[in-house]
Amino acid sequence: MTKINKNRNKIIANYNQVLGYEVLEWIDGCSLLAIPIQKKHRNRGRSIHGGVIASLVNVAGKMAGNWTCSGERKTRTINLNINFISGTSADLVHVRGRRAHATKGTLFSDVEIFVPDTGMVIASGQGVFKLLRSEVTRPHANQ
Amino acid sequence: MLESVYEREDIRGTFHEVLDYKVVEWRDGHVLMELKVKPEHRDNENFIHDGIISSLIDIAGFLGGDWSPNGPGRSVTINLNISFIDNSEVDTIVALGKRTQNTEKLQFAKVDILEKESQKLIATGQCTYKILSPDTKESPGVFRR
Repeated sequence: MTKINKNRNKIIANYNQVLGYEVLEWIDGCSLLAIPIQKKHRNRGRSIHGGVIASLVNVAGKMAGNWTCSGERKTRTINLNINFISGTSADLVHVRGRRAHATKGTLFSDVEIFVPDTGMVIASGQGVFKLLRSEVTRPHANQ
Repeated sequence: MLESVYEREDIRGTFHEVLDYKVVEWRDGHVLMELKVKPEHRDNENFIHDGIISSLIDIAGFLGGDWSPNGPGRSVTINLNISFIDNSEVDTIVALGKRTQNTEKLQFAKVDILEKESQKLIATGQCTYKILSPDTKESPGVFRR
């Protein structure tokens, strides 16, 4: 019991919690995240920090290709390329990741960040990921 | 001296505070930044999150080419291209930013992220920025309709 709690606390304390995204859709080859933008995500202007956008491209890109029927497949990022199209002071953004192509060990994803109300695209990116051998990650399996 | 130039009131509560980096050296065309890795900078497997490395490259690339005695100016990132070379679990990483070229409106920079102790390369990045002219209403959050 304590072990489970400890595990959960560990997940809460990491960077995914700082980003604070919500997974709206996660299927094979597609992912959709929603991020309520807080003050800690913004830069000295009011717009979203480029680092936050880069992080979201990374997260959504790997989620577009790591779905398996028994859990999440482990990945490592090889390359990210991000084009920042416009700044925004919106309070909610959506991130859609699509699998462009996947080989046995490599995943190529296209990611788009947009404001859901207006459909305005803020940034687009491409990610290349290494797919590690398909072992199932079950967080509480060894307990 | 450098820190007092960089630590400004208007970064309170923003993403810069989440990162909590330190500017060690900063002069024209060169910047050296240091980041002490906290638990909230790590991913589920205890590696440094790729997003943290991306953010550091974004900031170091900008600071690397935009020195001024009054602190950093304003810019917007146009493009980031990051290659992740190795995973790392160390406690301190450094970012070394160098200017490639500045034009009137654009700035090109190159950033290396290294482990502080072993000087092992973790990631490299190339960045492009648009420099916003000071004393105008141009701002990243404001766009023309």
